[in-house]
Amino acid sequence: MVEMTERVSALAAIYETGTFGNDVDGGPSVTLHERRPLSIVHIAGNSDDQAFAGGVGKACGCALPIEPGTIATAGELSLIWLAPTRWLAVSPDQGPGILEAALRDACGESGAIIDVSHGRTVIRLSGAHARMVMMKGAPLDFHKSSFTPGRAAQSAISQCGTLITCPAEDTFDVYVFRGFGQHMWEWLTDAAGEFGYKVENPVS
Amino acid sequence: MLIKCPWCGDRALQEFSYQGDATVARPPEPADPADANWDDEWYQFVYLRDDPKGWHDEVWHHIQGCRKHFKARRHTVTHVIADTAPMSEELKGGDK
Repeated sequence: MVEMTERVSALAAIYETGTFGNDVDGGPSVTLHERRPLSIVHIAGNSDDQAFAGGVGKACGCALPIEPGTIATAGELSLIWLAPTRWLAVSPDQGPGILEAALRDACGESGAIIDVSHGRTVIRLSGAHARMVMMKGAPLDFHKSSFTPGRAAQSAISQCGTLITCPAEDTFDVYVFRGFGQHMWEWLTDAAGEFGYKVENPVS
Repeated sequence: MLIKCPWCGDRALQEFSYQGDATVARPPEPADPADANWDDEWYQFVYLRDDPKGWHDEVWHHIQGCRKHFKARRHTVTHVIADTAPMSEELKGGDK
């Protein structure tokens, strides 16, 4: 058996729980936490190929989302549309390589499946002013009627390529490459400072 | 300024990168590179570009979005973009 080293958060050195920022009436209106540990798998393939689309559907338990900027879910697993022929499967940690192996087994040679769990930092913002924080960051239409639960978009916050998803009302997940994790955390907490924000323990 | 990505829809200019003239055609490659017309055909293809005033077909890259390349018909004076399309499709609109 190969000894697995313990996964360490990219934010480990700066992560601090508590209440920060402006002391506003009614208390902090933004809550942040890192989402970890997660299993994140990058999927590439042709959705017209039944072996691929059917395989991903079988492994994930939900149909491949074809509409740009949408998310399919099955229980706690999300299948996020990134680009034509590209998706991201995200779920609470299933153990090293488990989700990747399940997808590979189901797709065979029809798709390219790569485990990127270690390579992403995911930050969740929620609360009454979470949407305002996102509006300060990315040049997307974050209106309540536009960026609704179940939507996803890739864009840039502070020049970092990000994937932004809206899993629930007034809740946003920001995915960045691990190396940009600390920078994104510092940017988001700085942007949330005016509303007052609370940092909770990491949870998937 | 918003550019309409054929997949993602209207997005901010800062998400895109200009990738060049979409009207230049790559010269045929002869089996032996020595037979290629380096001084004329390939020189033109690699270095020479028109500088049109008016509608221009261009390649753009949604680099900070879905990372797809696509074609855009842009007016070089007004910056109006008449149409965008996947690389495999033809552009419409403008006065072309």
